[in-house]
Amino acid sequence: MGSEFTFYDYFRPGSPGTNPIRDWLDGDGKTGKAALTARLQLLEAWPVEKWNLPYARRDLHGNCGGLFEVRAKASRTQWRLLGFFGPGAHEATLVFGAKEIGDRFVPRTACDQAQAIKAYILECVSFARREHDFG
Amino acid sequence: MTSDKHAVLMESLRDPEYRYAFLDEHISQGLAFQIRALRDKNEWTQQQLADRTGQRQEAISQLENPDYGRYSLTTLRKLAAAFNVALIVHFGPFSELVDWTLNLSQQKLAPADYAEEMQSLRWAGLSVVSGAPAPITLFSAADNMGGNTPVVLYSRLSEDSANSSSARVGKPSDRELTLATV
Repeated sequence: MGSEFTFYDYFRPGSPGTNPIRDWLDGDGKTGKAALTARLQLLEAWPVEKWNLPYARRDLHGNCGGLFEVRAKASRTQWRLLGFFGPGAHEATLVFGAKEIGDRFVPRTACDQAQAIKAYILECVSFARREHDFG
Repeated sequence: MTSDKHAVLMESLRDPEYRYAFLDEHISQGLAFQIRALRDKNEWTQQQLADRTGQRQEAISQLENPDYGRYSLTTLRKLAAAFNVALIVHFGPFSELVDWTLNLSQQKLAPADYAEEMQSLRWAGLSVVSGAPAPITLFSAADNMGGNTPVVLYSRLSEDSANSSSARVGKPSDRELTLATV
């Protein structure tokens, strides 16, 4: 039995284009990146019905509805990656990185931004994603 | 793609601070995921696992939390005994860790216990002795057959099907042994 999912990153098209997920992971602390990278690798083998706390949250609510949350804690900081299942079978697409402080995302607009990126990706799947490489 | 990912991940570990943070996370998070996966595979509640390991249910809950990260070898030995699986602790190259992390699966997180492994071995052995048809069975036995290269053993479905391409995977090489029905 292989992995359950393959993770993809939102990729901002351009010349040469940018990977905001990679940039976020690289830009804000090595321990957070290590924690999230390990969590993503383990979640690739984790059935969706088990994407519950404390591992992840598979279906957020309110203006985050339709998004999942990959969770990790490092250096007393709660790290979050927002994404959605799809567009293809056994695919999970990461769209936005945030922190959580006092039950609120930082930035506060994280879910709104994530939803906008999700809608954009669903319109132009072929060039708005790259497979996550864990690097 | 897998080899690309391997190279990218190995390169990302160039920074020692990140390298050991990554190692720490895979130890603590990996154990938490495995304990939960093995408990689920056995269809035990946290309380049932606690009873089998002489701990409180709250302790099992902590051990299954990937943010916990405080495991003792004593506790891990008790868990291994309860799950009837091996606990493998050794120093190794980072490439081995990278391989493990890039090829995770449910089966790797919750591996076969000793009884299941022995049942598989007995079943394969019976098919040799009795000549009874058996589904294709693959074993990879690293370095326990006197060589450094993994050896692959094939069992055959039957005399007729063994001669067909569906009875085996690939053509045998001089490093493969075929278990024939007798």
